Amino acid sequence: MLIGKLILPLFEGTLVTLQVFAITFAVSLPLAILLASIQAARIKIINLFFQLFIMIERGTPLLLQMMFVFFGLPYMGVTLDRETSIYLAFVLNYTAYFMEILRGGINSVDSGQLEACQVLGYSRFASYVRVILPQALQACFPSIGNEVLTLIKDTSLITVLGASELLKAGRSAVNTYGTAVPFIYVGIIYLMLTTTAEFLLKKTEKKMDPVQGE
Amino acid sequence: MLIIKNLSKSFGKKKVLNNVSFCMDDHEIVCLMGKSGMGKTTLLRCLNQLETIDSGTIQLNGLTLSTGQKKDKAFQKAVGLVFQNYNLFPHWTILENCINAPVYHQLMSKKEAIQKAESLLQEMQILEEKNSYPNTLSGGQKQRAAIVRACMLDPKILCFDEPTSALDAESARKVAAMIKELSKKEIGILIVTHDEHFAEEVSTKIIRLDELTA
Repeated sequence: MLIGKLILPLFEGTLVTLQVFAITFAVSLPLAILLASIQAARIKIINLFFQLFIMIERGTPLLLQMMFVFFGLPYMGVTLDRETSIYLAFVLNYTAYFMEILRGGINSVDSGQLEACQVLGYSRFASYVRVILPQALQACFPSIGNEVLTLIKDTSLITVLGASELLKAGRSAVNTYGTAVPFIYVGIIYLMLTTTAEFLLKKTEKKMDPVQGE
Repeated sequence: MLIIKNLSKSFGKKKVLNNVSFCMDDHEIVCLMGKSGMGKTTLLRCLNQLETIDSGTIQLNGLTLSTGQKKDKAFQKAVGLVFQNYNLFPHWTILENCINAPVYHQLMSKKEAIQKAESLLQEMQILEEKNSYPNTLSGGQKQRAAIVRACMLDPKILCFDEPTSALDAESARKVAAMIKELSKKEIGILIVTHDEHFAEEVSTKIIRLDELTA
Protein backbone atom coordinates (compact mmCIF):
# COMPACT_ATOMS: atom_id res chain seq x y z
CA MET A 1 0.00 0.00 0.00
CA LEU A 2 1.27 3.44 -0.96
CA ILE A 3 0.08 5.05 2.24
CA GLY A 4 2.27 2.70 4.30
CA LYS A 5 5.34 3.85 2.41
CA LEU A 6 4.37 7.51 2.77
CA ILE A 7 3.67 7.62 6.48
CA LEU A 8 7.25 7.96 7.69
CA PRO A 9 8.49 10.64 5.23
CA LEU A 10 5.28 12.67 5.58
CA PHE A 11 5.46 12.37 9.37
CA GLU A 12 9.07 13.56 9.36
CA GLY A 13 8.15 16.41 7.00
CA THR A 14 5.27 17.40 9.26
CA LEU A 15 7.61 17.50 12.25
CA VAL A 16 9.93 19.91 10.42
CA THR A 17 6.94 22.06 9.40
CA LEU A 18 5.69 22.15 12.99
CA GLN A 19 9.15 22.95 14.30
CA VAL A 20 9.57 25.94 11.97
CA PHE A 21 6.06 27.12 12.83
CA ALA A 22 6.50 26.74 16.59
CA ILE A 23 9.91 28.41 16.80
CA THR A 24 8.89 31.29 14.52
CA PHE A 25 5.69 31.89 16.45
CA ALA A 26 7.28 31.50 19.89
CA VAL A 27 10.03 33.99 19.08
CA SER A 28 8.36 36.50 16.77
CA LEU A 29 5.18 37.20 18.78
CA PRO A 30 6.91 38.09 22.09
CA LEU A 31 9.56 40.01 20.12
CA ALA A 32 6.83 41.91 18.28
CA ILE A 33 5.06 42.70 21.57
CA LEU A 34 8.31 44.07 22.97
CA LEU A 35 9.12 46.12 19.86
CA ALA A 36 5.53 47.38 19.45
CA SER A 37 5.66 48.51 23.08
CA ILE A 38 8.87 50.43 22.41
CA GLN A 39 7.22 51.82 19.27
CA ALA A 40 4.25 52.98 21.37
CA ALA A 41 6.63 55.17 23.39
CA ARG A 42 6.88 57.29 20.21
CA ILE A 43 10.61 57.95 20.16
CA LYS A 44 11.10 59.46 16.73
CA ILE A 45 14.47 58.01 15.73
CA ILE A 46 13.59 54.51 16.95
CA ASN A 47 10.24 54.60 15.20
CA LEU A 48 11.90 55.66 11.93
CA PHE A 49 14.09 52.57 12.17
CA PHE A 50 11.04 50.39 12.93
CA GLN A 51 9.14 51.85 9.98
CA LEU A 52 12.03 51.08 7.66
CA PHE A 53 12.30 47.54 9.04
CA ILE A 54 8.57 46.93 8.64
CA MET A 55 8.54 48.44 5.14
CA ILE A 56 11.31 46.11 3.97
CA GLU A 57 9.94 43.01 5.65
CA ARG A 58 6.35 43.52 4.47
CA GLY A 59 7.23 44.96 1.09
CA THR A 60 9.43 42.11 -0.15
CA PRO A 61 8.61 38.41 -0.50
CA LEU A 62 9.57 36.11 2.36
CA LEU A 63 11.06 33.80 -0.24
CA LEU A 64 13.45 36.56 -1.36
CA GLN A 65 14.34 37.35 2.26
CA MET A 66 15.15 33.70 2.91
CA MET A 67 17.28 33.43 -0.22
CA PHE A 68 19.05 36.68 0.64
CA VAL A 69 19.92 35.43 4.12
CA PHE A 70 21.10 32.00 2.95
CA PHE A 71 22.64 32.74 -0.46
CA GLY A 72 23.20 36.51 -0.34
CA LEU A 73 24.81 37.13 3.03
CA PRO A 74 27.85 34.90 2.33
CA TYR A 75 28.86 37.44 -0.34
CA MET A 76 29.01 39.98 2.47
CA GLY A 77 31.12 37.69 4.60
CA VAL A 78 28.30 36.34 6.77
CA THR A 79 27.63 32.65 6.34
CA LEU A 80 24.74 31.08 8.19
CA ASP A 81 23.70 27.46 8.11
CA ARG A 82 20.41 26.45 6.55
CA GLU A 83 18.41 26.20 9.77
CA THR A 84 19.64 29.51 11.14
CA SER A 85 18.88 31.22 7.82
CA ILE A 86 15.35 29.85 7.80
CA TYR A 87 14.62 30.87 11.39
CA LEU A 88 16.21 34.30 11.00
CA ALA A 89 14.20 35.11 7.85
CA PHE A 90 10.95 33.77 9.27
CA VAL A 91 11.30 35.45 12.67
CA LEU A 92 12.16 38.85 11.18
CA ASN A 93 9.34 38.67 8.65
CA TYR A 94 6.67 37.60 11.12
CA THR A 95 7.89 40.02 13.78
CA ALA A 96 7.26 42.85 11.31
CA TYR A 97 3.73 41.63 10.52
CA PHE A 98 2.90 41.08 14.20
CA MET A 99 4.28 44.53 15.05
CA GLU A 100 1.96 46.19 12.57
CA ILE A 101 -1.01 44.25 13.87
CA LEU A 102 -0.14 45.16 17.46
CA ARG A 103 0.36 48.82 16.55
CA GLY A 104 -3.22 48.84 15.27
CA GLY A 105 -4.40 47.11 18.43
CA ILE A 106 -2.64 49.59 20.70
CA ASN A 107 -4.04 52.54 18.73
CA SER A 108 -7.53 51.09 18.97
CA VAL A 109 -7.59 51.31 22.78
CA ASP A 110 -9.64 54.33 23.86
CA SER A 111 -7.44 57.21 25.03
CA GLY A 112 -9.76 57.51 28.05
CA GLN A 113 -8.26 54.27 29.37
CA LEU A 114 -4.84 55.87 29.64
CA GLU A 115 -6.38 58.97 31.25
CA ALA A 116 -8.13 56.78 33.80
CA CYS A 117 -4.75 55.18 34.56
CA GLN A 118 -3.21 58.62 35.03
CA VAL A 119 -5.98 59.74 37.36
CA LEU A 120 -5.54 56.54 39.39
CA GLY A 121 -1.81 57.22 39.60
CA TYR A 122 -0.47 54.25 37.61
CA SER A 123 2.99 54.75 36.15
CA ARG A 124 3.28 54.80 32.35
CA PHE A 125 4.80 51.32 32.39
CA ALA A 126 2.10 49.90 34.67
CA SER A 127 -0.63 51.57 32.60
CA TYR A 128 0.76 50.01 29.47
CA VAL A 129 1.39 46.52 30.79
CA ARG A 130 -1.74 46.18 32.94
CA VAL A 131 -4.35 48.14 31.01
CA ILE A 132 -3.42 49.03 27.43
CA LEU A 133 -1.57 45.92 26.26
CA PRO A 134 -4.17 43.35 27.41
CA GLN A 135 -6.91 45.32 25.64
CA ALA A 136 -4.76 45.76 22.53
CA LEU A 137 -3.96 42.04 22.38
CA GLN A 138 -7.63 41.21 22.70
CA ALA A 139 -8.56 43.68 19.96
CA CYS A 140 -6.02 42.38 17.48
CA PHE A 141 -6.23 38.70 18.31
CA PRO A 142 -8.27 37.78 15.18
CA SER A 143 -5.59 39.37 12.98
CA ILE A 144 -2.86 37.54 14.88
CA GLY A 145 -4.84 34.36 14.27
CA ASN A 146 -4.85 35.00 10.53
CA GLU A 147 -1.09 35.40 10.56
CA VAL A 148 -0.72 32.14 12.47
CA LEU A 149 -2.61 30.29 9.74
CA THR A 150 -0.53 32.02 7.06
CA LEU A 151 2.63 31.03 8.93
CA ILE A 152 1.68 27.36 8.89
CA LYS A 153 1.29 27.51 5.10
CA ASP A 154 4.36 29.70 4.60
CA THR A 155 6.57 27.04 6.16
CA SER A 156 6.35 25.28 2.77
CA LEU A 157 8.64 28.02 1.40
CA ILE A 158 11.66 26.56 3.20
CA THR A 159 11.72 23.82 0.59
CA VAL A 160 13.63 26.21 -1.68
CA LEU A 161 16.56 26.10 0.74
CA GLY A 162 16.50 22.31 0.55
CA ALA A 163 14.88 21.73 3.94
CA SER A 164 12.90 18.49 4.17
CA GLU A 165 9.55 19.79 5.28
CA LEU A 166 6.09 18.45 4.51
CA LEU A 167 5.76 19.75 0.94
CA LYS A 168 9.19 18.49 -0.03
CA ALA A 169 8.37 15.07 1.42
CA GLY A 170 5.22 15.01 -0.70
CA ARG A 171 7.03 16.11 -3.84
CA SER A 172 9.71 13.45 -3.38
CA ALA A 173 6.99 10.83 -2.99
CA VAL A 174 5.24 12.04 -6.16
CA ASN A 175 8.52 11.70 -8.09
CA THR A 176 9.33 8.31 -6.56
CA TYR A 177 5.93 6.65 -6.98
CA GLY A 178 4.71 8.47 -10.09
CA THR A 179 1.34 9.46 -8.65
CA ALA A 180 -0.24 12.72 -7.45
CA VAL A 181 -1.77 11.01 -4.41
CA PRO A 182 1.00 12.19 -2.00
CA PHE A 183 0.02 15.79 -2.80
CA ILE A 184 -3.51 15.00 -1.63
CA TYR A 185 -2.13 13.59 1.62
CA VAL A 186 0.04 16.69 2.03
CA GLY A 187 -3.03 18.88 1.50
CA ILE A 188 -4.98 16.88 4.07
CA ILE A 189 -2.14 17.25 6.62
CA TYR A 190 -1.98 21.03 6.05
CA LEU A 191 -5.75 21.21 6.47
CA MET A 192 -5.51 19.25 9.72
CA LEU A 193 -2.81 21.59 11.00
CA THR A 194 -4.66 24.78 10.07
CA THR A 195 -7.99 23.47 11.36
CA THR A 196 -6.43 22.51 14.69
CA ALA A 197 -4.73 25.91 14.92
CA GLU A 198 -8.02 27.66 14.09
CA PHE A 199 -9.83 25.67 16.77
CA LEU A 200 -7.20 26.55 19.38
CA LEU A 201 -7.20 30.20 18.31
CA LYS A 202 -10.97 30.45 18.64
CA LYS A 203 -10.82 28.87 22.08
CA THR A 204 -8.09 31.28 23.15
CA GLU A 205 -10.01 34.25 21.72
CA LYS A 206 -13.09 33.24 23.65
CA LYS A 207 -11.03 32.85 26.81
CA MET A 208 -9.53 36.31 26.34
CA ASP A 209 -12.95 37.92 26.05
CA PRO A 210 -13.89 38.67 29.66
CA VAL A 211 -17.61 38.42 28.99
CA GLN A 212 -17.62 35.30 26.77
CA GLY A 213 -14.87 33.63 28.77
CA GLU A 214 -16.82 33.74 32.03
CA MET B 1 -10.01 73.37 51.06
CA LEU B 2 -9.62 73.81 47.30
CA ILE B 3 -8.44 77.23 46.14
CA ILE B 4 -8.14 78.00 42.44
CA LYS B 5 -6.41 81.31 41.71
CA ASN B 6 -6.21 83.03 38.31
CA LEU B 7 -6.23 79.75 36.41
CA SER B 8 -5.70 80.08 32.67
CA LYS B 9 -5.45 77.46 29.97
CA SER B 10 -5.21 77.78 26.20
CA PHE B 11 -5.20 75.27 23.40
CA GLY B 12 -3.19 76.91 20.64
CA LYS B 13 -4.62 80.38 20.20
CA LYS B 14 -7.91 79.50 21.84
CA LYS B 15 -8.08 80.62 25.46
CA VAL B 16 -10.38 78.15 27.21
CA LEU B 17 -9.90 79.28 30.83
CA ASN B 18 -9.13 82.91 31.50
CA ASN B 19 -8.08 83.88 35.05
CA VAL B 20 -10.60 81.64 36.76
CA SER B 21 -10.65 81.87 40.57
CA PHE B 22 -12.87 80.22 43.16
CA CYS B 23 -12.64 78.14 46.32
CA MET B 24 -14.59 75.34 47.96
CA ASP B 25 -14.59 73.64 51.35
CA ASP B 26 -13.97 69.94 51.90
CA HIS B 27 -17.57 69.07 52.65
CA GLU B 28 -19.15 71.21 49.94
CA ILE B 29 -20.92 70.02 46.83
CA VAL B 30 -20.13 72.53 44.13
CA CYS B 31 -21.70 72.46 40.69
CA LEU B 32 -19.73 74.14 37.97
CA MET B 33 -22.01 75.33 35.21
CA GLY B 34 -21.67 77.23 31.99
CA LYS B 35 -22.17 77.01 28.27
CA SER B 36 -20.45 74.35 26.18
CA GLY B 37 -16.88 75.35 25.39
CA MET B 38 -16.52 77.53 28.48
CA GLY B 39 -13.82 75.21 29.83
CA LYS B 40 -15.68 73.34 32.59
CA THR B 41 -14.23 69.97 31.67
CA THR B 42 -10.83 71.55 31.01
CA LEU B 43 -10.88 72.86 34.58
CA LEU B 44 -11.56 69.37 35.90
CA ARG B 45 -8.79 68.02 33.70
CA CYS B 46 -6.35 70.64 35.03
CA LEU B 47 -7.35 69.72 38.56
CA ASN B 48 -6.67 66.06 37.78
CA GLN B 49 -3.39 66.91 36.02
CA LEU B 50 -4.61 65.56 32.70
CA GLU B 51 -3.77 69.02 31.34
CA THR B 52 -0.96 71.31 32.40
CA ILE B 53 -1.93 74.81 33.47
CA ASP B 54 -0.66 77.89 31.61
CA SER B 55 -0.84 80.26 34.59
CA GLY B 56 -2.36 80.50 38.05
CA THR B 57 -2.35 78.02 40.92
CA ILE B 58 -4.50 75.26 42.33
CA GLN B 59 -4.15 74.65 46.07
CA LEU B 60 -5.61 71.74 47.96
CA ASN B 61 -4.97 71.20 51.68
CA GLY B 62 -1.45 72.60 51.51
CA LEU B 63 -0.57 71.04 48.16
CA THR B 64 -0.04 73.37 45.22
CA LEU B 65 -0.14 72.90 41.45
CA SER B 66 1.32 75.66 39.34
CA THR B 67 2.63 76.43 35.86
CA GLY B 68 5.24 74.12 34.38
CA GLN B 69 5.11 71.77 37.33
CA LYS B 70 5.66 68.05 36.88
CA LYS B 71 2.94 65.68 38.00
CA ASP B 72 2.44 65.86 41.74
CA LYS B 73 1.61 62.37 42.99
CA ALA B 74 0.29 63.51 46.38
CA PHE B 75 -2.01 65.99 44.62
CA GLN B 76 -3.07 63.32 42.17
CA LYS B 77 -4.04 61.01 45.02
CA ALA B 78 -6.00 63.78 46.71
CA VAL B 79 -8.22 64.34 43.68
CA GLY B 80 -10.50 61.73 42.15
CA LEU B 81 -12.41 61.87 38.90
CA VAL B 82 -15.50 60.07 37.67
CA PHE B 83 -15.34 60.40 33.89
CA GLN B 84 -18.37 61.20 31.78
CA ASN B 85 -18.07 57.80 30.08
CA TYR B 86 -16.73 56.19 33.30
CA ASN B 87 -13.58 54.70 31.67
CA LEU B 88 -13.75 51.52 33.67
CA PHE B 89 -11.20 48.93 32.57
CA PRO B 90 -13.19 46.42 30.50
CA HIS B 91 -10.84 43.47 31.02
CA TRP B 92 -11.15 43.65 34.82
CA THR B 93 -14.15 42.76 36.93
CA ILE B 94 -15.81 45.54 38.92
CA LEU B 95 -13.99 44.35 42.06
CA GLU B 96 -10.64 44.31 40.25
CA ASN B 97 -11.35 47.78 38.89
CA CYS B 98 -11.84 48.95 42.47
CA ILE B 99 -9.01 47.17 44.29
CA ASN B 100 -6.12 47.24 41.81
CA ALA B 101 -5.16 50.92 42.21
CA PRO B 102 -4.92 50.98 46.04
CA VAL B 103 -3.07 47.65 46.02
CA TYR B 104 -0.73 48.96 43.28
CA HIS B 105 0.01 52.04 45.42
CA GLN B 106 0.51 49.76 48.46
CA LEU B 107 -2.05 51.77 50.41
CA MET B 108 -3.53 48.55 51.75
CA SER B 109 -3.25 44.80 51.38
CA LYS B 110 -5.39 43.02 48.80
CA LYS B 111 -7.55 41.60 51.57
CA GLU B 112 -8.15 45.05 53.05
CA ALA B 113 -8.84 46.47 49.60
CA ILE B 114 -11.43 43.78 48.94
CA GLN B 115 -13.14 44.49 52.28
CA LYS B 116 -13.21 48.22 51.62
CA ALA B 117 -14.39 47.80 48.01
CA GLU B 118 -17.15 45.41 49.04
CA SER B 119 -18.34 47.82 51.70
CA LEU B 120 -18.42 50.73 49.23
CA LEU B 121 -20.05 48.61 46.52
CA GLN B 122 -22.68 47.66 49.09
CA GLU B 123 -23.31 51.34 49.84
CA MET B 124 -23.67 51.97 46.12
CA GLN B 125 -25.99 48.98 45.82
CA ILE B 126 -23.93 47.10 43.25
CA LEU B 127 -22.18 44.53 45.43
CA GLU B 128 -23.93 41.73 43.57
CA GLU B 129 -22.15 42.88 40.40
CA LYS B 130 -18.64 42.72 41.90
CA ASN B 131 -17.60 39.80 39.70
CA SER B 132 -19.22 41.17 36.56
CA TYR B 133 -17.33 42.91 33.79
CA PRO B 134 -18.14 46.56 33.01
CA ASN B 135 -19.59 45.78 29.57
CA THR B 136 -22.40 43.79 31.19
CA LEU B 137 -23.57 46.67 33.43
CA SER B 138 -26.02 49.49 32.81
CA GLY B 139 -24.84 53.11 32.61
CA GLY B 140 -25.97 53.82 36.17
CA GLN B 141 -24.21 50.73 37.53
CA LYS B 142 -21.01 51.63 35.68
CA GLN B 143 -21.15 55.10 37.15
CA ARG B 144 -21.55 53.77 40.68
CA ALA B 145 -18.63 51.37 40.08
CA ALA B 146 -16.56 54.32 38.83
CA ILE B 147 -17.45 56.26 41.99
CA VAL B 148 -16.30 53.35 44.15
CA ARG B 149 -13.08 53.03 42.13
CA ALA B 150 -12.35 56.73 42.70
CA CYS B 151 -13.25 56.57 46.41
CA MET B 152 -10.89 53.65 47.02
CA LEU B 153 -7.97 56.11 46.98
CA ASP B 154 -9.63 58.31 49.64
CA PRO B 155 -9.67 61.55 47.61
CA LYS B 156 -10.19 64.88 49.34
CA ILE B 157 -12.02 66.17 46.29
CA LEU B 158 -14.05 64.00 43.96
CA CYS B 159 -14.84 65.44 40.54
CA PHE B 160 -17.74 64.39 38.34
CA ASP B 161 -17.83 65.22 34.65
CA GLU B 162 -21.45 65.46 33.50
CA PRO B 163 -22.69 62.70 35.82
CA THR B 164 -26.28 62.80 34.60
CA SER B 165 -25.66 63.12 30.87
CA ALA B 166 -26.44 59.45 30.18
CA LEU B 167 -29.04 58.90 32.90
CA ASP B 168 -32.82 59.14 33.07
CA ALA B 169 -34.49 61.36 35.69
CA GLU B 170 -34.91 58.55 38.22
CA SER B 171 -31.26 57.46 37.94
CA ALA B 172 -30.16 61.10 38.17
CA ARG B 173 -32.09 61.44 41.44
CA LYS B 174 -30.32 58.32 42.78
CA VAL B 175 -26.94 59.76 41.78
CA ALA B 176 -27.81 63.01 43.57
CA ALA B 177 -28.65 61.06 46.74
CA MET B 178 -25.39 59.10 46.52
CA ILE B 179 -23.33 62.24 46.00
CA LYS B 180 -24.95 63.79 49.08
CA GLU B 181 -24.01 60.66 51.06
CA LEU B 182 -20.43 60.90 49.82
CA SER B 183 -20.10 64.51 50.94
CA LYS B 184 -20.95 63.41 54.47
CA LYS B 185 -17.60 61.56 54.45
CA GLU B 186 -15.74 64.88 54.27
CA ILE B 187 -15.15 64.49 50.55
CA GLY B 188 -15.53 67.72 48.61
CA ILE B 189 -17.56 67.18 45.47
CA LEU B 190 -16.99 69.22 42.32
CA ILE B 191 -19.50 68.54 39.57
CA VAL B 192 -19.48 69.78 36.00
CA THR B 193 -23.00 69.69 34.66
CA HIS B 194 -25.45 71.29 32.26
CA ASP B 195 -28.39 69.95 34.23
CA GLU B 196 -29.86 72.93 36.17
CA HIS B 197 -32.41 70.79 37.97
CA PHE B 198 -29.78 68.30 39.12
CA ALA B 199 -27.43 71.11 40.18
CA GLU B 200 -30.12 72.73 42.30
CA GLU B 201 -31.04 69.42 43.88
CA VAL B 202 -27.56 68.25 44.76
CA SER B 203 -25.31 71.25 45.27
CA THR B 204 -24.51 73.46 48.23
CA LYS B 205 -23.05 76.03 45.83
CA ILE B 206 -23.44 76.68 42.12
CA ILE B 207 -20.60 78.39 40.29
CA ARG B 208 -21.20 79.77 36.81
CA LEU B 209 -17.94 79.74 34.93
CA ASP B 210 -18.83 82.76 32.75
CA GLU B 211 -19.18 84.85 35.92
CA LEU B 212 -15.75 83.79 37.20
CA THR B 213 -13.72 84.75 34.18
CA ALA B 214 -11.79 87.96 34.81
